[in-house]
Amino acid sequence: MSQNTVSTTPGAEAETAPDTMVKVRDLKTYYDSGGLFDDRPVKAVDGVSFDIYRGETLGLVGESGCGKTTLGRTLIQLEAATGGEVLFDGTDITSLRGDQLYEWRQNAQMVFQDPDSSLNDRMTIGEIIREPLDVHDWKTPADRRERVKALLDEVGLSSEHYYRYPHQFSGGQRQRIGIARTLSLNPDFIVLDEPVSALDVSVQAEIINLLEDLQDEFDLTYLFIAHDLSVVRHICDRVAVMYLGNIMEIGPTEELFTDPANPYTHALLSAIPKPDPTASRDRITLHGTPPNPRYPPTGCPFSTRCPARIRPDEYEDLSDELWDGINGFREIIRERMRADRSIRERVRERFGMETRFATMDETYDELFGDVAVPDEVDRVLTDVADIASEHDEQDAIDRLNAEFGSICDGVDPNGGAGEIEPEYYEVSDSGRLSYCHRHDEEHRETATVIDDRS
Amino acid sequence: MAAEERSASTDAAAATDEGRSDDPLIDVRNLQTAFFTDKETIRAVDGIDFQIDSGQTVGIVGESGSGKSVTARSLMGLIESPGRVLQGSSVRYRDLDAVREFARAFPKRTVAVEDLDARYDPAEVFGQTAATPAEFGYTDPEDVPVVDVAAAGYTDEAGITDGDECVFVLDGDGGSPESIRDGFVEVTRLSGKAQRKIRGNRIAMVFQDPLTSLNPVYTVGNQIVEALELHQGLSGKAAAQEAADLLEAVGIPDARRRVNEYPHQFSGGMRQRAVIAMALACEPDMLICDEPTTALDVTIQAQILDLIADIQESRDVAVMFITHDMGVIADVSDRVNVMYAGEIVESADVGPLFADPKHPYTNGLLDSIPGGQVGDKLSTIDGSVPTPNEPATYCRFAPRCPKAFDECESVHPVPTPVDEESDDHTAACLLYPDDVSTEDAVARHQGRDRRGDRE
Repeated sequence: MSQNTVSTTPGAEAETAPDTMVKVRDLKTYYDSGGLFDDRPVKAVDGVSFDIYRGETLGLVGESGCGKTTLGRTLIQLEAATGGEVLFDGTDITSLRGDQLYEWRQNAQMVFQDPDSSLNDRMTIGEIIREPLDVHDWKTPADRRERVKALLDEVGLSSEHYYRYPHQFSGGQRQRIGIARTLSLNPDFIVLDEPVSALDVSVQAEIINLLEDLQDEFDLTYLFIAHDLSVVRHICDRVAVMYLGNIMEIGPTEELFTDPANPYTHALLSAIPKPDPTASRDRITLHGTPPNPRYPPTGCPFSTRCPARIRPDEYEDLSDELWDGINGFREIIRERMRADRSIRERVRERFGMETRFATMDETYDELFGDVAVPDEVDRVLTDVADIASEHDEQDAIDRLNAEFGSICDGVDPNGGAGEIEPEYYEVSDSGRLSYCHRHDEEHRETATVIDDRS
Repeated sequence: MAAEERSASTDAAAATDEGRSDDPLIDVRNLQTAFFTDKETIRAVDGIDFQIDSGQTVGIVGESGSGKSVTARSLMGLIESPGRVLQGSSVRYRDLDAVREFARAFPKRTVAVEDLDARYDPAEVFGQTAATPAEFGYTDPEDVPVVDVAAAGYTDEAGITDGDECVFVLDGDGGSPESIRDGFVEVTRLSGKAQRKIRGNRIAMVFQDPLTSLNPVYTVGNQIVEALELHQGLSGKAAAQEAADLLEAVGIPDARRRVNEYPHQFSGGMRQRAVIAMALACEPDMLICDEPTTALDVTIQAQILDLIADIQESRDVAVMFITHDMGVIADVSDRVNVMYAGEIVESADVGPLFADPKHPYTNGLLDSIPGGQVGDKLSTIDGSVPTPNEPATYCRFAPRCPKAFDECESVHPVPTPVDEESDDHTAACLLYPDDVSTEDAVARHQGRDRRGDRE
């Protein structure tokens, strides 16, 4: 899954194009395991492209492990990119080295999630905030002290805090210190990595207000990484929704929240508990957990949990319970394929003894015990269960996909052998993009499908 | 609860022997837990009252440092030195099965209430203790039932039992444990052995971080089996089978295989499911969930909330749900207690609380949630939660309160019905009840402080 060269830039180069600050093109960050037997990399960021406009706040949301923090760190070169480009005002920073990188780094800073671990307990507040100035040899030491005091003022602390230590401050105040440190070199671009997740809601509101004030005052551009969607809705101009290293949907905040296009955005939004007991509770509960990014599924990354997954025409009429069962079955087989096997297990398997993997029958009963399964489906499933019991998990998956797979699983509907991936479709006038086959005209709308199935 | 109501409910209890199903499962009265350090005494939980019925979910919400978790730990008997549940606190566990079981196991500690009334004179009891009638919600010592004084831990002074472990039984005919028709186990004063009969067995707890509540060197199945062996007396194959069934019941796919895996092989949501399975192993009557979804993603949080709701429905357990997230509280609770600096400042059913929050703190908390006012500044509550390190003779929220007035500095507010009609919507704020003048309202709070000031 690497050919996403389709630009996720809204509206291309329209005449009213906003001032683009950062251009990200097909960016990939992989982590190599360095293992002897299994050298598949963890694809933390797997080919994303988007733009960040000057002065805006771009939100980056997704579940833990989706790659949002890695993406943020790669943008300011705290991680080396595996492929692709990050163009800051035309300069590809992934190719910067040594002095150039050191010079450039003044422009881009990061605020970290945990204010407890991101401040050095043995340094005073003054030293912490001064450190970037010292590193970049900014003016004279007296100027630096003045600058730090001005910054303390700026973030709502006072200059008398200069000689105190981090443990003397509350969580909210510590986060203010972290923010003052990032501001010290007058950056243009700041990556905020979950800056308020560790804070209580009333403190959180104060920090959000502070961030907004600072943005106005210093013309800052933010990349705001968060998993709390209500915060994102409040502070961001545009939002990118990430899943398993891919951007699933990107567009203006209000539009995306009120009228989500991608099935994943639908599910994510419906999962937020609202502070209103009268609100309808028909949330979409996704099954299972995101797949391991070392072994992403073929086709669409979200296909394993998607509530609007396209089903092959001949099986469109099967009951939703049965489909849940089939999807669960596939996940269990995939899971078994990855499960660590101890040497003991392998030996037992070799000698045909019973292992903990050989209980496919029970699993099968568990999944399909109380669902009506039509004969022809039952035949296929039993077949698959038999193959899986023989420890040919890959064969079992292939068999299952051949029968129940669709374009979402990367199966070419025209019978081609290649693996099909979704494309980015423009889903509104504002240039919002969504990465899903459902937007193709031959398929039904996501929203209606989700309604039908729930 | 006002004095009249309290005595009225006691009369009712004495009048009817049967039909006690409307009694709450857990009745927390004037719970005070303090931590005694060299520097100061921190009154982490400072005189709170609430009840939980079977099958009900009661939410406790508040910022960090408000005393939510200490409340849960007090109920579980998990307060460690230098912390202590103070005299005057009473947590009554009213399950009839449990009361009979305790009466059988600890006959010497079982006290019949009729006996107490016959043998002791309330005024005399008060004379021997440091207690005040106000602690129990009464003005006259003569009115305080001796059982309340005894349950609150004044047994030694009053000479009721020696040692402070006791089980109280409201007994119909004073006969065998089987004839007990009502009563309660006083949870805060149990010995280690008696405590273990409650903890895990009757009241189970799910903690915030599933990874720290699971032992990394044992398989998940092993740990569930351990709980089953301890509490249910199962062993061998039966226990293994039951463990797998439990994992399946909490929605872990491929449970037979998963039983033999280690916690690190589970994802965050699965681990929390496993912890819940372990909590369910003993078929508890009550489940305390201390921020069970805070460490999880929203999609996984949705799964766990669904699971807890399912469990509650199918097993009819009482749930005490602690969180700082107003959205989660609105989703799960039947009734909500808002805590601030060790006190419950507002208590109401979930609908009225969110539709018409009364206490200024609840209002502030709800307003600071992003989403209400897109584009505008978020409203904040200035200042931070104070450390409750002295008995309050004032409103602890007053320094941050936009509606504070002079009396807030000198009168300590107690939970009061917000107006004539809403009996079960209380706020600890001098502005309430709001259908009388401010002076009258203040007068109702004055002198009704129920906390003793013993150290």
